[in-house]
Amino acid sequence: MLPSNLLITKSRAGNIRPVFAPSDDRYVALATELIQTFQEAIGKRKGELYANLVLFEELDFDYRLIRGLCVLLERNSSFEAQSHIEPRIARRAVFREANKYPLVATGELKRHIFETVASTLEVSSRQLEESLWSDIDEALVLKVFTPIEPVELLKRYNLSLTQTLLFKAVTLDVTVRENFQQIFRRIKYLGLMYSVEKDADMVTINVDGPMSLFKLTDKYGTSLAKLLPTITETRKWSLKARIVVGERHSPRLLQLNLDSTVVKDLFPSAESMPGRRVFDSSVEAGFSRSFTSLRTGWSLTREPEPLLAGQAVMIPDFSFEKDGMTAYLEVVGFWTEEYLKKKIKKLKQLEVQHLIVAADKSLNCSSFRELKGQVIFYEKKVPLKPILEYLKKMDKELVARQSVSLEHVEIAFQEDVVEMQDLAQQFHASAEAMRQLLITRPAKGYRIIGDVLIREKKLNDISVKLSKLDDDRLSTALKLIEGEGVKAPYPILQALKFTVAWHGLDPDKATIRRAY
Amino acid sequence: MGDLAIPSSSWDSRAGAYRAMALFYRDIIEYLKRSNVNYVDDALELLPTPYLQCKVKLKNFQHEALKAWLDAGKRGTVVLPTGSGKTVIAVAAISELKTPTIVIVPTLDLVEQWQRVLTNEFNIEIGVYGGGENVLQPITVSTYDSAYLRAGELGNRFGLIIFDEVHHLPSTGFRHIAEMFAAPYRMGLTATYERQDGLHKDLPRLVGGKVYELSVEHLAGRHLSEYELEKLYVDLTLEEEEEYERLYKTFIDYLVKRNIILRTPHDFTKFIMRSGRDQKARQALLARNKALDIALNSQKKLDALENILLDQPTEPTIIFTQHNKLVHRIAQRFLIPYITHVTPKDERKEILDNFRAGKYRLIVTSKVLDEGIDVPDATQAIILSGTGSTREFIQRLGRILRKREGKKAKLIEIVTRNTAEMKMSSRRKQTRRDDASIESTDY
Repeated sequence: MLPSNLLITKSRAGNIRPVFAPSDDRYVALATELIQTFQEAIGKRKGELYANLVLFEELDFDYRLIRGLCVLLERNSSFEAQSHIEPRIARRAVFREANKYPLVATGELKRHIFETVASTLEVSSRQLEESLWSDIDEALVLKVFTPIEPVELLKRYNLSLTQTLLFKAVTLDVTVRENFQQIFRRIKYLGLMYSVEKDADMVTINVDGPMSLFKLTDKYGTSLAKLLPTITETRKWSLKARIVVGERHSPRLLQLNLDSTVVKDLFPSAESMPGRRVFDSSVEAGFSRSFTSLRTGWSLTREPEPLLAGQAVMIPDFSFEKDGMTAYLEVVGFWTEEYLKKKIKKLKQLEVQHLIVAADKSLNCSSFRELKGQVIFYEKKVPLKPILEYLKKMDKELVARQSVSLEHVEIAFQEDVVEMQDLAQQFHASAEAMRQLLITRPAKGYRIIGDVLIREKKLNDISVKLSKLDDDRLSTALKLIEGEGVKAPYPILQALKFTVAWHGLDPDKATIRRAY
Repeated sequence: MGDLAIPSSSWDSRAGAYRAMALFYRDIIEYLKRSNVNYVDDALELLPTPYLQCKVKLKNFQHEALKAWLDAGKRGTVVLPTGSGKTVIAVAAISELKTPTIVIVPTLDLVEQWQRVLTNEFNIEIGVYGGGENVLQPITVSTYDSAYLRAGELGNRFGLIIFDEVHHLPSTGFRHIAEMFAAPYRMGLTATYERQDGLHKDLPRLVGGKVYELSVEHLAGRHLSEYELEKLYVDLTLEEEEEYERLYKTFIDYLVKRNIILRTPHDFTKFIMRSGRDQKARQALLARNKALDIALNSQKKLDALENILLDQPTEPTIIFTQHNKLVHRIAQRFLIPYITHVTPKDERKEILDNFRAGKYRLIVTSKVLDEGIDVPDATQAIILSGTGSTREFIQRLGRILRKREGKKAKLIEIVTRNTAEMKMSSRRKQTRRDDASIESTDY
């Protein structure tokens, strides 16, 4: 963020935009020179550094850009007073001594005072004089300067410039796809208010503050500016802000529109920003690792999109998804009592069917028991077993539910070979439910083999054709079956009681034989 | 709030309730009572408060001021000259109401000064917000900045809110403090009710209007020491004058060429904004600033200062300048203790304490001592540069108007002749003539 007087904007037809510094040759050269100037000023006085920097303002750039870049570079610098004795002690002694005279008006008297004080403080007169004003801003010495890449400097500048424009924002609407937990936590920390609209995987958050209901105010501008990096460090985002410009007499409301595509090469890249994809605790990180290694068929997402909990939102730690089913897992570690109360209240308001709450055993257990969802307690590590059992139960329930709903469905078959997967899709059920249904209510003239439903007549045909082959090679047989429209031929061979005889590792040399 | 629409409230779908600004708390409660509506009041959460009883004895006019405020429904602004003891009236009001109170002040110096007085009077720990401190107590002093930032969290903890130097309150940002605090009782204190931008018209809504006013003339000689004004003209040196003429011409030429007329502060703000876009405008502005700089920092002024200080070798004197640069120049030339806005709090205190104790005769400072800080023993003030603002001038004046037996205070303004600075100075005089009838001609 920069001082407001260094803000550079362009406005047109009700829209406002910061004037960004592009990373072209001219700007990179400027940035390089400024960085160089700071680097060369190490060990020198601030006054000298600034005398050099002022010269850049003669160049054909907006002086506010140059000062803005310098503000950022100054944040990478540390200045210190360099003196032989504490300047304040030196001053006190000198002022007291000087106060003994009506007025120190001559150089001679001044020298005399310096000598007197210097001898009591046991330094030389020159050392005293040097120390006396050494903590005045211009006299400070540049001790440390951490260099930065020119392009990175320009990008940081652009982000800071946008934040500075947001100082004057009255509302901010952001659309994001990830990092929800961090974003909402930040909103809350900054004392802002929000409302949320969900649309597919995008979430639009409208942010302002408590007073915004009553009047158009930029009181929350600084907080909105502080929120910005949390937004721009996600991969895909867009924002709309309403900005007040002009003086009190004639304020105007302009719109700022920005998105990740527009500022792709202007802002620091998402990867270079700190703080992405960090787990809240090692408990969560560990859980994520061990679950993924199990290959359950359920896909795991960390920090899925927010869920509505009354007027607020909640972002669970994980979601599990499979065949259109979703379950959520919220891990509650050790927290204060007030936090827990709020959390439980929020959890109760959630309109979610499948919620698993994993709570640290050391927490007040009884209040968790009031929750609708599955509650498991853990010590140190979130146990996988109860979660897998819960998910399995969901699998079974789904199959059972679908079987029930398929019971009265009339299925007419025309094809000789029907893939179970296609059938399931056609009836919006899982393959497992379809299989269950066809077992309990077999289709007349068909058999289930592996993952396909095949007409018995067709199976017979294949059997006859196979026995008529004058070639007993496996590859010939497979080709024949595939030619009949069956994608996975092995189960058919098996069903027709063929066995495979291997001669070495080469499948081309394998032969088949019917076992009678 | 609740599910009933009441005056000044708006529906908030996020909260699922009607909400209103804290400013309207008192009105809403009164409305509910008048309308015989049953209500639950969860808004105020007052700090538990010990019995508050002060020891102050009020002078007649202070008593009148307090009574006027109480009669006006414990709301409103008291206008009294600097140095007449506004603090005492506030202390008496706290003692009268015995409710948790927050005092809002513009500077850290004033935080400290109020803290000292309140600790003394009530014998309890005083809370402080500002300068890195965050301590909440039944009586708390806060800077405007901290109160603005923390209004959301502190707004319902106090029954009485006192705004020192209340003319700061109506600015765009600070007015939120008045709007976000629910305190039903409100007191404003100032020596200068009017603002150049006219925003004081909002004070009746935010704290209550003027309930009592006394001008300098009423108090001079009785409660304040009498004072005289002196104006000293100096010329620029020859080189300074040439440089000044050249720079000022650059500025004027630009204005004439672009047909720009700068009549009000608003015109000037517009000009400064223009200089952000227009390179020529910026050069003109820089030339003007440089010219003013020459006039404000003129060598002859330092010589004149030297003469005054030598003429009165024992008079405790505060020297004011507009810029830190000149502060440092004077401090280094005469070895005088200095205070600027970056002087650490404890060093500032040390210097002021030494000045009060007579260990330092002279102090040189930029604008930091502008408002209300208590420096009782200065009998002379010298202004080396001013900005032409009425308020600033009166307040600097006020600083040396502390009453001392048989003492006539003196204010000396050193101005460079025939420069823009002279115009600033006479603009000031103009406003004051309009204001009241202070004798304005001993210079």
